[in-house]
Amino acid sequence: MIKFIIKRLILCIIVIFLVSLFAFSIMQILPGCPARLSLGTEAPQEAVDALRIQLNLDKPIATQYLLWIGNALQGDLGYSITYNRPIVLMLKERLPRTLGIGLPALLISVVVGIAFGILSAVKRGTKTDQFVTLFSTIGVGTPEFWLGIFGIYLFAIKLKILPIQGYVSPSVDFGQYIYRAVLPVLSLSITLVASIARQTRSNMLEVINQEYIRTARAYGIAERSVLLKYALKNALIPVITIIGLQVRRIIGGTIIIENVFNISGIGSMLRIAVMNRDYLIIQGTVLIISLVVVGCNFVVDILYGVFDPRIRERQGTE
Amino acid sequence: MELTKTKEQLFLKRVRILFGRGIIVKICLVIILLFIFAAIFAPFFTTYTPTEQFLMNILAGPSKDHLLGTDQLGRDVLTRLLYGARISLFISLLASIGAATIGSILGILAGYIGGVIEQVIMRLTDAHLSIPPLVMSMVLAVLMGGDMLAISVVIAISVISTYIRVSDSLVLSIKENDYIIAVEQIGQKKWKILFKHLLPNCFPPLIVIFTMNLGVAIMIEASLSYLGLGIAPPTPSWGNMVADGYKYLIVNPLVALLPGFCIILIVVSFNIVGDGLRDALDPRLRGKL
Repeated sequence: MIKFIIKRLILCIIVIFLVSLFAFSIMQILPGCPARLSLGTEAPQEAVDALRIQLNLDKPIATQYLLWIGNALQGDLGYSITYNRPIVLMLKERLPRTLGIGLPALLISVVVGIAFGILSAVKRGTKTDQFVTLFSTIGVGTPEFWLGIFGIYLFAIKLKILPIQGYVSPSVDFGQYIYRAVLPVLSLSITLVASIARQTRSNMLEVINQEYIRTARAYGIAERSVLLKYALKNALIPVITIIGLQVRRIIGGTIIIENVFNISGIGSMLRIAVMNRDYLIIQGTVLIISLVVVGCNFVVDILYGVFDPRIRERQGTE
Repeated sequence: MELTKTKEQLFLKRVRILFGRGIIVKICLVIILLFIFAAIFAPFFTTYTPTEQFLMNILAGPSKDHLLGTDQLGRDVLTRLLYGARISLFISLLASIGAATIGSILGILAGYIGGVIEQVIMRLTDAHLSIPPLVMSMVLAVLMGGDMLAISVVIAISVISTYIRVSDSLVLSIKENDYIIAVEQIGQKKWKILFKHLLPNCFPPLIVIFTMNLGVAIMIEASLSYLGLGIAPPTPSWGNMVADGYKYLIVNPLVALLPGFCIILIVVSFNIVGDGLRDALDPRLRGKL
């Protein structure tokens, strides 16, 4: 098991190194001199040159990369050109808002998605199954931004029971947080519920058709116990991987939803940075986002190894 | 002769399975064809151009002159939807073809050659996969600019890792088969094995993924345009139409909501046809793709 974990860890470090190279190269490919972009076209050349030196832009590329990644490892991602503030500070400020939307959405989609998937597999061919299948087919194909806007139209404009946009931190006023987070969280969850339900259903169906389930039934074990004790356990293993994959989607979705509902989280910061070519924010955010994704995948891989010894064996002996 | 006949029969059987699979696949296929038809012949369906403004008649509801109403600049919504279909379908097709071709070649090579080359390609793919497609395309969109070709390239790069991953693992499992080992034993050239045996066997799953990815590409394009990083106004794209219409949700909700219906309709259709194709080409893939 330890060998397996170490192997995974090395792979993660390689991936993060590659991503950091990509993030760093954004600035190199980005058109225009970053110092000039930051100061504007009116600024005197001396000031631009001074900033170039301050940002280490006069040094060779390899040195620039080492300085950037060295600082990043010490928790310093540099200053934002547009906001003129430390990027780490901005990320810290905005992260709770992003998590305030993303985490509940992930939780809801995992619980509801798995429940829907099991229900529709167990009741295969019934009305319930048809409903879940219809819901997940349409849900997977619906863009989050449109769901958000449709939700606003229905609940805020027509029914007037929810606010149009905005966000209040749960630590400030929990009631207001729920009131304002309902729509963003739901718009984000529906697509995820749909895809988790779809996957769980097909895994569960595959397991139900396995021989050991038939054997369990043949032994006369109650159907309920066959499903919950034998089928579900095995069907859930691949679902762990799916949840790992959803992290990518949920990050993409959160960026969109933050922009729809005017929530100043990391997603809306990234959009503004991209529009202003604020390259240090783009670099830093890409690095942080991929760290989160890699971290989640690492945990998922380990869990997978814990629950399914076959994976562990295969990976360990490779 | 005998062989071609069985091949033909097999093909016909697959077509029958695809179309015999209930009414829903057929309806979705028709929906896709209708959208393609509407996109190609957009100018014939409307007397307006997508940027023509009728300032006396802004944010109007459906009427005889404007079947689906007008937007905040008095532009005909139906016309913009039709021209938007052009953008969405063209970009998604171009991006998917690009990603599928290059991605599958890279994946198949990685899987077949193995060793250092596979390690390099697959670790790069892992790194690529750790950046969400939307984030990747947002960043690349700044680098490339906002015309149709650039956006297609951006989306192609953002989704390419799926094809690399899948074709790599396909080749890894196919090359363990006895018939591949047999042709290797009789001294068949490597490139011949690659093109004659590995590639054709990778096709069915890749076609299924391609079909489903058309929908994914449409979603990414719409999201990018919604965020103001994709197709730049006044060129209509379903995404930027939603973004524009959002501000006028109270006056005329159709402007923001209709493009979304189009996106859902076409993406769901692609997914269902993809499912149908999967069952027709290789039922064993069920639950895996």
